[in-house]
Amino acid sequence: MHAGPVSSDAHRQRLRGALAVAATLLLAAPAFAQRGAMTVPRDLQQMSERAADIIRGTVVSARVEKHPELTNLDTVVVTLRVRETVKGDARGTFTFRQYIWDIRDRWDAAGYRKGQDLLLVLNAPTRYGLTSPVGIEQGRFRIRPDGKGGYLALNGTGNTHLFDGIAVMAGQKGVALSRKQAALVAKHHGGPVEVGELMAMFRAFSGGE
Amino acid sequence: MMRATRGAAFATLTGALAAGIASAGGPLALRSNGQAYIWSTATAIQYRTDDGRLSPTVSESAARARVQAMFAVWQNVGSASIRYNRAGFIDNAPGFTDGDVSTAAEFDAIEGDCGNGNQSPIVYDATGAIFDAVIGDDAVIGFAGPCAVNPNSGLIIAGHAVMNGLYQDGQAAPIQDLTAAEFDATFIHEFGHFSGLDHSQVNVECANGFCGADALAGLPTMFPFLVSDQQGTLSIDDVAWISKLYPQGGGGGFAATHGTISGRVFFSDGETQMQYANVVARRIDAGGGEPRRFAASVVSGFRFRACRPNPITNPPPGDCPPAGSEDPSLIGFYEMPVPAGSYTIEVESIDPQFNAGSSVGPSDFPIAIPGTVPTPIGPITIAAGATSSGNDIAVLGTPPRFDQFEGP
Repeated sequence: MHAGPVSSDAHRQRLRGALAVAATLLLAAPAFAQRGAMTVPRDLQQMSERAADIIRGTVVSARVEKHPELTNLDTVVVTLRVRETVKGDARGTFTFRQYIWDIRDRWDAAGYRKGQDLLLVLNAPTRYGLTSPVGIEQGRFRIRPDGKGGYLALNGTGNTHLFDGIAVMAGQKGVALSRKQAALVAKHHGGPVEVGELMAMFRAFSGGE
Repeated sequence: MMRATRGAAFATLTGALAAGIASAGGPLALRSNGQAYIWSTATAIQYRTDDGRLSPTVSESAARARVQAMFAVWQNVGSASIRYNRAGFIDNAPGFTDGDVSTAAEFDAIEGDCGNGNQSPIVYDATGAIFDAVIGDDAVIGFAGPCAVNPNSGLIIAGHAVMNGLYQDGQAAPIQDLTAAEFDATFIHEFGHFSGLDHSQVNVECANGFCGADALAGLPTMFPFLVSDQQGTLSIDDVAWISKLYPQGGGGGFAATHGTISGRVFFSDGETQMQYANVVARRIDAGGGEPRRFAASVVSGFRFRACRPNPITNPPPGDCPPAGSEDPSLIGFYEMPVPAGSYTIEVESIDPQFNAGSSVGPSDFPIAIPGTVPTPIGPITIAAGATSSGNDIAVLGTPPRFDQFEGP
């Protein structure tokens, strides 16, 4: 079931209908919990379009500190060693400052840890210089070896809804998916995906190629 | 239907709930002794609401009534003693004087006051301007949680919530509205965090698209995904855990309605404790559909701080939770409040979708249970006020392993 940037009217009508009959239900999450927050789903096309920077890199440092101007707000300042830039012009090292609102994020730097291999899909900085991944945890992909020499990427909502509607959107946007990507998009409902294919799709939907 | 509901309907069901239903997924934040951070119940939690509109189409008074109703969902649990009181509009603080938090600077001022433990504000961001300034993403519906805790007393001192009015402005752009029921269900979940509750995995099939009516009825408000506005109604799991953290005394109170089931999860050697298994108690003595409607859960080792990788459960390097006890006897320990009744106990992996911010239990990263999950144990009959301990479960066919402090 496709879910748009928020659950669409059509989706909600279907949902209500299903609830009314109280039969076996087919439901799509209209919202994800994210460390004390709730967000609506973002798919790969929406994330690509919205992102100012899409970067794969290794966390060099992550520290919690107050914002220099909004001095009561907690932030985590993350520095990455850039490995590959999919969108934007990040090179070398890249540092961003993210607002954190959950008390646990103060204790563990919002889960950013030195040495982490990440693919970050980042919003443009706000006027206060604050930058969050698109859809918050949805735009933060942890990368891990797959045990076969490759690497897998998983975002903070388990890649759920990441490829919803992407096949149709690819047609509308004139994005050519490879056979492997088309198969992935058709079958995937959640779980890790090969990082190279994921980055290629972000690149394609970002207009890179 | 034996679930709690909001508002007037809830009041009529409280008796039924108190008479025998049960439980949720555990505490949001732990102290270094493994105990949960909770609010004091000596007085009601004093929260303050924004003096501005929630959105162009939702007035301040309407928003205030909705917030009160959302808190009432938790307050009306008969077996729990947590109480909330609206103390008035958001109070003045250095840099803030007009009661209506509408700019990033005003939000900053209020966050400072919350962090200092002076007040617990519920902020309405009527135009999304605050979210735009500090997050830069309109995908965020809102957030809530404690903003000040006392590590010595273990008490939550202040909490905050911010609601994005863009989701209730009657406009399809820049972001489409949620229904009022979906929006309210979202913040009933958030107010669970505000109250000290973590996420809960019960009836996980609902996260994967298929959710029978019984499973939906048992789906926790504190489930990591909002899949239905029905989650604005508390499940057995939610009721049990809010009651465990804030037990009400007397007839109809926690001890008069709930018992506790505890045990440990082991690797197949029967000696080595296993952390990160989701443990679910399903009621079996109340007729059709009960096991999915009436279920409670907790994660094994939920009070343990696992900073040392082990060769099988293998948390990523540096994946050390910020708090919890390092008492090794708690590694595989589980403890669940449940309404009096008969239950089976089963273990399952935490769903891989629930990681990082949507995580369940003490690890940010779900770890698949190695080996074979055993058949459920039970029945375990638990009386009100009683504890059934030693309900241990050994996973089958796990590879040989080393002690958690030895490493491979």
